Parts: sequence; C-alpha cells; structure tokens
Amino acid sequence: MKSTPSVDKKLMSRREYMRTYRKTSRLKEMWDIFVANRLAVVGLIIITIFLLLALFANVIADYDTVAIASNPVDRFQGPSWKHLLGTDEMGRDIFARIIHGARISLRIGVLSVLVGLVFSCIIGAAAGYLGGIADDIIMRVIDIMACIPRIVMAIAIVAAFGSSEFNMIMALGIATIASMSRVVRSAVLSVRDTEYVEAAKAVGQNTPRIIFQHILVNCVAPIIVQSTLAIATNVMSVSSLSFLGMGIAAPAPEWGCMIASARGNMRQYPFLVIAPGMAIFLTSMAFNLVGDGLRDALDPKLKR
Amino acid sequence: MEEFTNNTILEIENLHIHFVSKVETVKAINGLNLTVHRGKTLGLVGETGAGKTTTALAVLNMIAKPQGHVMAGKITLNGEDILSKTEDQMESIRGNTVSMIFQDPMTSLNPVMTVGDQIAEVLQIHKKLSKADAAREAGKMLETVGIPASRSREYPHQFSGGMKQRVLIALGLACTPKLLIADEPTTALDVTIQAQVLELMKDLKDRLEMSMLMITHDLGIVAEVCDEVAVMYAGTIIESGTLEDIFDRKRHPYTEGLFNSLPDVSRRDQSLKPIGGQMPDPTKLPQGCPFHPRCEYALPKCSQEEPPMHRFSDTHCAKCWLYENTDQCMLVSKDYDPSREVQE
Amino acid sequence: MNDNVILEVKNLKKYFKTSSGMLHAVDDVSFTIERGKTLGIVGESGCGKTTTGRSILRLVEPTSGEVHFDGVDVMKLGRHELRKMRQQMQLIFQDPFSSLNPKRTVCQTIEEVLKLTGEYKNSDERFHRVLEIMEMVGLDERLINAYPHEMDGGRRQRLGIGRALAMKPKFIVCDEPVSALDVSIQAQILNMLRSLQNDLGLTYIFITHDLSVVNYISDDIAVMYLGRLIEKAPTQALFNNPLHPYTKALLSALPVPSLHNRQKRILIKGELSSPIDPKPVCRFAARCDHCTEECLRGEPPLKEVAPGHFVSCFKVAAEMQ
Repeated sequence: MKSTPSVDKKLMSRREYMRTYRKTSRLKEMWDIFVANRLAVVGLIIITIFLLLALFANVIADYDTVAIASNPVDRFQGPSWKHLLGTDEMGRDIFARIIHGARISLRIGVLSVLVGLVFSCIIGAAAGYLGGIADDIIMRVIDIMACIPRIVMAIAIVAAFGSSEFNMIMALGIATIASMSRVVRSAVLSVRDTEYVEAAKAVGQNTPRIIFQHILVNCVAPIIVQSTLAIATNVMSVSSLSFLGMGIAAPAPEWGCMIASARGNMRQYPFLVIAPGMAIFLTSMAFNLVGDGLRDALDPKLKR
Repeated sequence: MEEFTNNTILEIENLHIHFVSKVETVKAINGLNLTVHRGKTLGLVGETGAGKTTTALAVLNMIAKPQGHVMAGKITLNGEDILSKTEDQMESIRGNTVSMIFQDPMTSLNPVMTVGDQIAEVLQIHKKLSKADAAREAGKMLETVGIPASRSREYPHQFSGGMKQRVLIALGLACTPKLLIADEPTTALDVTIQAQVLELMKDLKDRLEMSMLMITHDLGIVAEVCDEVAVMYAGTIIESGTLEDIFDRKRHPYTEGLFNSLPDVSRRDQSLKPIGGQMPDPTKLPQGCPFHPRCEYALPKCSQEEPPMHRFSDTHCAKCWLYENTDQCMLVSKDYDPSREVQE
Repeated sequence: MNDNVILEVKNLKKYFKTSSGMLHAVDDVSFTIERGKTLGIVGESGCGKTTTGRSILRLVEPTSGEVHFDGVDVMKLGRHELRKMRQQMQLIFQDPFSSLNPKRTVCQTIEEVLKLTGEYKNSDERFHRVLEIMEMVGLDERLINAYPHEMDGGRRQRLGIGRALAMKPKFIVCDEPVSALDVSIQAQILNMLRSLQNDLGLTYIFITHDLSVVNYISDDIAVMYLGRLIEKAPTQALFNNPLHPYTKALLSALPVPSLHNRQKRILIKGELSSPIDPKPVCRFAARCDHCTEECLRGEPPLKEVAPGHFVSCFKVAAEMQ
C-alpha cells in the first residue's frame, strides 16, 4: 500500500485517539429530544413518583399493619393528615393500599412485558429474517393468537392454571406476544434488506453477527416504544382481571380489587373508587406519554 | 393594462428566509435578488442546500410555517406583492399566475383520481369551467404534452415515469400561468426520457410564450433550455447573466468550479478539478463571502466583508471581491478563451 | 484464457419470478475485464446493470452462467470459499446513507471489516490501519468517532469506499457511487477513485446511468438495454463512433454543458417495454427507426464488428461486413 502513516501517528495510541475525538453521546441527543416534549416529561415524572412510592412503600406505611389489617374504628374516613386519601370500608388507609398496589401493578406490568418481549423477539426476528415459508407459518399462528382478545386470552390462561401472580405474569406476557412480535418482525424486515446489511454480507460477515450488530441494533427503537406502550396496557389488564376476580385475590391492595370491593359503597363514598381509579389512569397515561416521547427521541428520521 | 408596462414577470428583492427551530436557525436564503423577464427562461443553478427550492416555494408563498420565516425582502409577481397576500388570495394566484412542477412525478399525482379528472379539477377551480368543458380542455392539455386524450381516463399508476412527468407539466400548464416554476423536472427520469421531456418543454415555451423559472443542478439542461442563468450558493445569487455570460464569460470562482467539476466528454484524459471542501453549514455561515473557505482565489478581505454585486454589463453581474477594481476576468480557467473575449 | 483477464463473465442470466411471469433482469450477458482496467456499464433504470453487478459478487444468486475471477469459477464456490473470495471482490453502493449502519461510527465500520480479514490481531495495529484507510480515502482523523448522520454525503461515500478498501480487494463493483452526490463532490470522489485505482492496481466495474461520468472513468463501456448487452467498445470508440441505434440516441440525449459544437439530438420514441417474458426479438425493435423484418424474427447476437467493438444489431452487423 502506498500511503504510510506518519511517525507521530504511530505514537498516539488508540485510547488517546478515542479521548481526543469523542463520540457524540447518543443518549444525550435522545434525552434532549425527549425533554423537549413536555408531556413526555410529565409522564416520566409520574412514573418516577409511582416507582419511588412503590419502592419505599414499606417505609411509608407497613404492609401488614396499615394496608392489610382491618381497623373497624376508622371506617370510611375522609382525607385527612392521618389518612391522606381517607380509609375504606374496613378502616384501611387508602393511600397505603394505593402505594402497595403500585408495587403489584408495576411489577406485573413490567415483568409480563419482559416475558412477552423475549418470546416476541425470538418469534419476530425468526419470521422477519428467515422469511419465506417459516415467516408464513409463524405469522399465521400469530394471526390466530391476535384473533383472541387479549383480556379473554389472559382470563383463559389464569382460569386454567389458577390465579397466582406468576400465572398472571405469564398470561399477560403471552397475551402481548401477538402484537409485539408483529412489531419486531416489521422492524427486522425493514432493516434486513438495507444496503448496510448487504455490505456486511459482501465483506463476508457471518450471519449471527449480521443479525446482532446490524439488524437487531437498528430495531431497538420501535421495540422499546412498543414495550413502553405494552406496559400501560398490561397495568390496566392487571386491574381489569383483579376487578373481575380473576387476578390478585381480595385482601391484597390491588387497584382493581380495591375498586371491586368499593362498588357497594360507591355512592356514599366515591373516594373509594376515585383514588384507585386515578392511580390506574395516571400510570397507564404516564406510560403512554413516555412511549410517545421515546418514539420521537429514538426515531432516526427526525434527526438531521 | 399594467402588465404591459414592464417586461419583468417576477422580481425578488433582498429576500431573507430563516428556518427557526428550538435548537438552531437555518439561514436558507440570505439577500437573494432575482429577476425573470417575460417570455424568458431563467435557470436557477446550484447544489443541494443552496436554497433553490426554498426560493421557489417563497414565490408561491408556501414557506412551511411555523419554522419558516421570511425575515426581509419583497417578491413582486406580475406586478403584485406576493408576501402581503392572504392565503385566500394566494390560492387564486397559484395555478393562474404561477404554477410549479415538482421533481418527483411519482408522488406528485393523486393515485386515486384519473389524470383527466386531476387536470379538469384545476380548470374547474381556476377557470370556473363547467365539468364537461373542463374534461374536454383537460384532454386538449394532454394532447399538448404528447399524451393521447383517450388516456385521460387512466390512473397515474398506469403511466410510466416520463409520462407522469408530462401529466404534471400538463397540470402545471392547465391554466396557462404567466410563470411556470419547474423544480428539477427531469432529475428523476432516464436520459432518453429526459431528452423527450426537455424537447417538449422547449417547444411549449415557444408556443405559449411563457416565462419559466427552471431549477436544476445540471448545467447541460441549462444550456439546453434556458435564456438566462443565475448561480446560487448558500442562499444568495453569486453570479447571473445570459447563457453566453455564464458559459463563455464566467467570472465567479464558484461558477468556474462548477464547470470544472463536470466530466467533459471531449477531454477525458484531463483530471477533474473539483471544488475543495463542502457546502457551508447553513446554521453557521462563514463571515464575509460564504464561498471564501473553498475559494482558491480568496483575498484577505473575503473573510471579513460580504462582496457587493459587480456589474460587467447590462445582463451580467457577479458577487466577488476580485472585481472590486476591474472588469477583467480574474480566473485562470481551462475554459478561458481570450479570443472570444476580444470579439465582444 | 488470457492471463491478463481478471474477470470473465459468460452467459450470465438472472430471472426473477413475478406474479405475471419471468422478469428477465439480466439475459445472457458475457464480457471480460482486464486487470487494472475499468469497465463502465451504462443503461437506463431497469436495464439490469445493478443486477449484473450483484450477480457477479453472488449477492444475488444468478439463474445461470459462469463467472471466472482470477481463474476461479465463482459460481461453483461453497459458502465458506465464497466468503473468502469476497475479500477480493467488493462493492461500493449508490446511496451513501442507506449503505452505512446508522448505529456505527467510522472506526467501528472500518474495523469490523479489518477484524474479518484476521490480519491484525493487535488492537493498536488494527486501529492504525483504520487511520491509514481513513487517510487513503481522505477522511480527516477527527471523524474517527463520527456517526454517518454527522457527515455529509461526500464524506459518507468516502467511508463506504474505505470499508470496501479495508478488505484490500483486487476488484470493486461501483454501483452508481456518485449519482447521489453534488457535482463538486462528485468530482472529488471520481478523482479519488481514479487515483486509488492507479495506486492500488484495482479493477473496477463502474455502473452508472451518467454517460459523462462513465466516459471519464472507464476504459471500456458496455451498454445494456432491457437485460441485454447491446454494445461494448473501448470508451473512445464508443463515444466517437457509436453503432447501435440505442447507443446513438443515448449519447445524443446527454445534455452538454456548453454552448458550442452542439449536436442535433436523436429522439427515440416511446419508453422501455416490459422485461417480463420478452419475445425472442430485438429488444429495441419497438423504438428503433431502422427496424426491419429480420429484427422481429430473432434476437441479434453480440458480434465483433471492429477490434474490441461488439454490437448486437442485425443492420450494423450487415453494414460492417
């Protein structure tokens, strides 16, 4: 080769180069776009508050004594400094129950999406990358799954295996697969035929590396967005199932359960329903807002 | 009538357009002056990002809000001040006085309407023709651009790229506008089809005595169809003149660079002389002459003060400090031909 | 076989199955290229020039035909051998944006290729090779950690070329490498490709629709029309004396950026006919002014009518006899 690097270049090591010419941080770029979206920031703040409350629920109010044990003397109290959101028909502090309920909802919401995500990535990537008959077969099965409404599918699974928290996670996770694997597949399809994948093939790169370094890396954005939105849906599904008596059992401070048990006294004490209702509304809305914000922040087309 | 009192159809004076976003301000057009004479074709030449399309959109008063801001300037089209018009008034001006042909024939037509209906619709709106008259007129327009009227009942997807571009031209000409803006009308087409379309445009121009603003990056097309040329760089005209002024008596280093970058079919052994560097970032335009960082003739002054427009003749002017004290050509171009200079 | 010939393509065919029939993208194309030379393949969209390039590298599996590269029959190679062979045959893409992984920096893009060659075990050595390649293609070293979206079209195309060169190939298929670029940048890239060819002894296939570009860079030019090679000649011969009616029209259709010695234009009527299940006649017959009955009876073979000048036209072949 003709060009020979000059001497001082040899002296500068790789690390020195990397330090001199830093990469622009993609995270910072994304963060800037995300922050520009006011609503997404509101969503993020709400989620953070709920997460903190859920994380320190035991510090704020003891589970057994405050959230579970009945206290007939304090029944149906309105909001006060002692009981921020009042008390329910058994004299339990509603605020304490809400923050313990946040633990359950967020845990099941996030874990079920993770379960769904693992399956969807394998299924969707296989369908998208392999194409042909494999794609046809996989997608027809997914089509059949998509014909069954999510909640019905979850009910069926919980009814068959019993209503433990683990079963709920699996049930909601499986119910997520249909929509999520389609997103993964279409993302993989759109990247699979790009020229940079062809270029990687042209230099003789092996298939696993092409899938991981060139295809999946460029599919991350839509998958993250879809997952965030799925968390919102699953948080609501947890409450719906519990409301129907198919999910978390009664004394547990699950939001759906709380609404279900407050139904009888709803007229006199609307707060019993409003508080957990607002909790459900706020979390699912927050995740939706963050999802939208992420869509903007991660979409490379919006970048110059 | 007023329009006979002068012979310019379009005059743009000192136009400034900025696109403002939260992060940055893109200075797209910076002090642009441009004149299109009646019945003439002006070629607006420049590279990507020079602001050609923005200029065209400004003439139609279609700068995308809310980012786009016309900071200063005046656009006079057929004696009317365009920038002071309301959207309602503009709607009747667009199509009637001025119309535009876009670059991509594939996406500029409505896929669910027949081409005949699309042309007829324009005629119904602007010329207030009845449905039957409009349909007949649309058929005639298609014949004008070389498409049999019988095809007016077909949908865009049944036409090939070149044919679609003809339909677009018919659409642009439907209301016999006084000024036709063509934004890279043949860039998406193959050479032989491009030749057909260019031939058609030349022919139509002669027959309809229309004025045209031809936006292109291809100097070959300019030589083919234009009467006058304006070379654009970083949102401003750096040299303008007649075809002969620009092709045979070019004065601005950028114009020279553009010509030297083109592979010459008759001189293949010569190495190309590209312009070094890249287009300036429109968010951080250099001080002084925007071309000075890439200019091999740059003087110390060029990086400090913006050069004034220097007039060489009634038609020819260039924006360059090289001509502060002289009219002589300062370029050492391979195309420089002194014999032609003497004849003048 | 001539020892100087680096690539020989024989009867290359690529048909695509479509719902309305077989699309003949490349139909019986044969040519050879000598070491260190450039063959320009010219044609309008849909003529099969891109598919020809990809078929030679087997990025698209050809339907039939032979490709001999340096004496090796590329079509007979297994997957593993093909991967090795690709180190010597590279591709430069048209669109410098979609051909680069948006999530990888300049360094990562070039280094990925270097790792595949297995030549540089030491990370620092490999890194300096990255810098060398960047210098070769004129990328400033401060761009080492830049992402594709942070660079303009010209620099991105330089990176695309650098990626191809990292393999130290002998042969590169350039698929419209400058048509997405502005003229001033286009000239920079063309000059660079020319000087790289001189320095590294590269052989190019240069695919383009732009006749002035192909004239500048090629030693020989092949003109394609609807999947067929209709004329092939040394560049000078083709430009000075085009023989096929289509080539003549193509050359005269080129807008010349000069006001002097303008030529009369030959306009050809109509548009490309369908490449799906074409009839076994001359493909250009429907648009040709000189079409005779013979042209509608069979496909004209590619005949050598002058030294190195091949043309597939009954009329020309008869006249030149």
